[in-house]
Amino acid sequence: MLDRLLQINDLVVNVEDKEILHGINLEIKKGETHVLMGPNGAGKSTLGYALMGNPKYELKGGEILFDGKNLNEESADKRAKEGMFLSFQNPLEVSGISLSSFIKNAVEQSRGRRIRLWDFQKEMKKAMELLQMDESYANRDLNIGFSGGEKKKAEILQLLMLSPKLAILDETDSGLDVDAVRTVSSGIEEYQKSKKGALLIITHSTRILESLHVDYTHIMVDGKIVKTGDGSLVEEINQHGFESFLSHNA
Amino acid sequence: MERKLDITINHLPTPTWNWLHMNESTLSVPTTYQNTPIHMVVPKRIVCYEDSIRTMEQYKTGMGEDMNRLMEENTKILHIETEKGQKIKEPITLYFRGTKENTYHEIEIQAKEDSELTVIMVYNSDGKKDALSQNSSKIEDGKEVLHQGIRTKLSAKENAKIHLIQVQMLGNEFIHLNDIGGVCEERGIIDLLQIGLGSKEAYSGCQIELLGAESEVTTNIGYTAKGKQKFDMNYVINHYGKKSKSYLKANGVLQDQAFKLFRGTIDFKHGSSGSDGEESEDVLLLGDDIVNQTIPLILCAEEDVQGNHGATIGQIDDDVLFYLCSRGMTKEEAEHMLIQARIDTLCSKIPDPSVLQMIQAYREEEMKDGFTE
Amino acid sequence: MEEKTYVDDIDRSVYDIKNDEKDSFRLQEGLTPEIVERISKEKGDPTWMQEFRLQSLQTYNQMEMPNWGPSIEGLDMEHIVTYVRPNTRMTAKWSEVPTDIKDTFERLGIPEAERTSLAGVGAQYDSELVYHNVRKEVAEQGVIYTDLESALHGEYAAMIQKHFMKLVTPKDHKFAALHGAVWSGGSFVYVPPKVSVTIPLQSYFRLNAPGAGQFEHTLIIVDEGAELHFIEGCSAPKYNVANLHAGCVELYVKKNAKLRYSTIENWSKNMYNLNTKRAVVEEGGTIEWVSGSFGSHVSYLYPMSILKGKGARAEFTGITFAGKGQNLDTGAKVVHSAPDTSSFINTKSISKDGGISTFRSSVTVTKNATNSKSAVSCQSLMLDDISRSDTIPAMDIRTKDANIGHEAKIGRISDEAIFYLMSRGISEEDAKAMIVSGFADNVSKELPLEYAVEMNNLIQLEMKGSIG
Repeated sequence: MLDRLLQINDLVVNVEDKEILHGINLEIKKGETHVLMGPNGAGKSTLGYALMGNPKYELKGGEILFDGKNLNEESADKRAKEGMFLSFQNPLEVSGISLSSFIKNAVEQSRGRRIRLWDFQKEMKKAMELLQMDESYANRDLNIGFSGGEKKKAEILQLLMLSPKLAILDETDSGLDVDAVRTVSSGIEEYQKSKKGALLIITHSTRILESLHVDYTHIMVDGKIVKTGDGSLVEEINQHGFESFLSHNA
Repeated sequence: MERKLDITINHLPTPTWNWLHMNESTLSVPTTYQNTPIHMVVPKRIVCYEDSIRTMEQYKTGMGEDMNRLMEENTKILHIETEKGQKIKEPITLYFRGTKENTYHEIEIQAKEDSELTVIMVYNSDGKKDALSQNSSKIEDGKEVLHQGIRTKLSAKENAKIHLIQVQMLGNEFIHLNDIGGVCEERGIIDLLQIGLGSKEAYSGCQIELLGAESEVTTNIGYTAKGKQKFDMNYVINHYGKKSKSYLKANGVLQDQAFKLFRGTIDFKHGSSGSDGEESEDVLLLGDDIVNQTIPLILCAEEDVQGNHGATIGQIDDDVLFYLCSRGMTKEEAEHMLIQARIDTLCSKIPDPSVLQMIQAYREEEMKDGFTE
Repeated sequence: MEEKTYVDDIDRSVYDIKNDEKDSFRLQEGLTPEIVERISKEKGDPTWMQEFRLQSLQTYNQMEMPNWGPSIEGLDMEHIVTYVRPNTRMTAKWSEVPTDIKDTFERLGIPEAERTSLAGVGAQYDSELVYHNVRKEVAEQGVIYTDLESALHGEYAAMIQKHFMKLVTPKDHKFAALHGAVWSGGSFVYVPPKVSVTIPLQSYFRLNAPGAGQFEHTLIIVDEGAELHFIEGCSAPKYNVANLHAGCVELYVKKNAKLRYSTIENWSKNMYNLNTKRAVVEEGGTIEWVSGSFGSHVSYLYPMSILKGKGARAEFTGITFAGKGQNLDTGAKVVHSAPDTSSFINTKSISKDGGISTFRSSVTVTKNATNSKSAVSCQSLMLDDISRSDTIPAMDIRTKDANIGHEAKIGRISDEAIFYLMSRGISEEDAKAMIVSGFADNVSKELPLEYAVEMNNLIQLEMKGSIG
């Protein structure tokens, strides 16, 4: 099928010789928004890292198909070039590289051509305005001295600038105050609407989902997806928590 | 036969085990030299003249006493001075072009009360292509080694500020000696930025006395060493004044068989209460045959001070690498970016577009050479 | 006005009790081949040892005094008595130890510790061991714990000859050469393969004779897969003449073996402590040093770990407390010379009342020590503005495949912390002592309880004073 973007079959992932994901199946079509929920330690972030190709997360079985290609053996940069993006839960601090030169570099890598500084700056300014980021952040070293909220905004800024086919957002809302969640949400909405991007939103709260359209919701417990439903499942979790799924699993 | 002088320089202020070979460095330098004219770009209002009088003779430098023997016969001292209260935005740029001769220069920079100035010194030479070839055996096989020696003395009077920027892009037939001695009076500030890219061997010394209360020194050093390049550094900051501040930062990359020895000392003298000193070093090791030596001293004879030192030596952190790669960069590109970043950060503080262009051109050529290797 | 803490000289009465030197055999002062030969004869050395001593003396005469570190000008080698034999033979029964010597060790709590928490004890008084005993069940596992002199003649003679001053050779530095020439006393420990000694062994060194030197040699071999904790304690009463301690510790940690070597050093403040300690660690082995330096007038002490086998590991935890009249130069050395090796150095130092403390270290990573890791952390506390605290760490890294971290901090006790404690009803003096004890926590938590208590008492003593 043409509109199938990501297909995960029976994915088994180990971290430091311990099996964390025990056979995950998931399919995301172009432009769809999926939410992955579950209690702490369920393996949600592991799935995010495994999809992006972190070498510490070892694929022991199954396959990751992205846009028809098997990505099992591909390194993170290849996956990024194919159009996959991961927003990190704890973005790393890198000294000596300014946020703007980093994004420019990454954008040039993904588009495979140089871009004019003027055009880049215009585009970046627009995105920063949307995210209510002070312009001065552009010239500061990547994530260094950024508050938790600014780091997350910087991740969404990268998402908007790179406009990937699929964005995996790992706990992008954690540690943010109400206003920051709203700002970050509007950035994600922009990506959903004008870039027609697909999303896999990993979260254990529902705040970030309030203003976003959700197509599917998956519940992960102990390294397995135990339930899949539509957007209304989010509301159910909101009311009753994960309790029922935990007992169901046991 | 050229006359040679054996000198011992870059002494560690408090020595340690001799077997480490870090206490000092010795080398043999020629005693015959030229004091060739310096190409200068000077803003109109600045006082700049040459004479034979040393006004800062007693200032100690990082390389030490032996540099006096070397400079003994020199009669041309370049003076750069500001008037009281004069704040000059435009930089004074001095070009020291390496020629076919051994050259030595002495510069004295004085910022009078409440003034501010920026001096940029550029060290470069013709033999760029040559310089960058990884194989320097040509030189070891008897080709003449050239010396360029520069001693700069700095005096920041009350509430004055000196920005000194030094960029070294010499060819690899050069041995570079770059020595600094400076004194800060009350609220005086010395802001030093150094970029080391070229030369066969680069010796660099710097000693700053924070005499006045609330005086400050910032030292930002960036270097990339490859091939058989050798960098030998000695930075000493003496806190005398109360509430004085020092910040000593050195970031570098070692590739191939490069050698680096970094000595950094923050010395809180008795009476320097309320002072703050911070020293940090970050070295990226990328070569199979590198030698990285580091000795960061904190000496302290005062109770009410804060002294910190941190060093990170090794390869790029795996998590950082994955983060960069997840944005579409290959491992090599990410590495390259992190190497360049060390210099880029410093370049962004250089207020002279033509100097930036020279650095850019030098590095592009370096990259080209690197890829053909 | 800022309040100042006035601090008395500490009460060291327990450590300061002097015994008369009666009937003991005392060699004349100074250092000549004749004196070295006399020592050799007195001790009944085998021939190789006698030759070794004379050769070491030659090396000693050829070597220079160190040109770095604290001054040792007050040390007049012409007047140091190198050998003082107490008037007793070594025994395995406390009852047979002469009363005055026994009383000294009783006051220091040694027999008590033996009864409650040790697997074996050795006690040296001046130049010779006066007591040596090891628990029966430990001896039955094949563990050898004896004085080095007996070992030189017994069934382990060949093992001693093979290892004695091979790790620290007389050429290492001037005082290692001196040690080679005049060493006397000390312990030999051998733990057979796979034997794990669960409670510690202890040697206690007491120097009673004024103007004398103590030169004990400790040689420990922990064989493959074995495990041992060894504790060393030292003290001496204070005299007006300089005393010298130039001991030597050689530790051999075999494949997958583990050795913890703990020292609480509390020499009197007329002591020149020029000690050399070194361990070589083979594949998968671990050396752990725990070191508390409180005493001495001058100290040079940098236990060295040579990580020779793949995956070998060294850990050094130390505290140095330099008070009035003390210049303590301490630290650690590590050489990584095999892949996957790791080292962790964590030290604290405190300077007070004009005391000088210097942290000195070196981390060397050779080219073939790939995938090695080292972390050095040192913190210094200045308690007043007449003291001194220096940090001199060196690193020499020759492989790109290493991960090296270093951090150093110098500062003082924060006023807020003292205020916080005082606001809870604690006196300023106690508050400071509590904070300093807390600062020394890294070492005390690594020691067996009894020793941690002793160390904390020492800190309390050092901190004792009155607010003026």
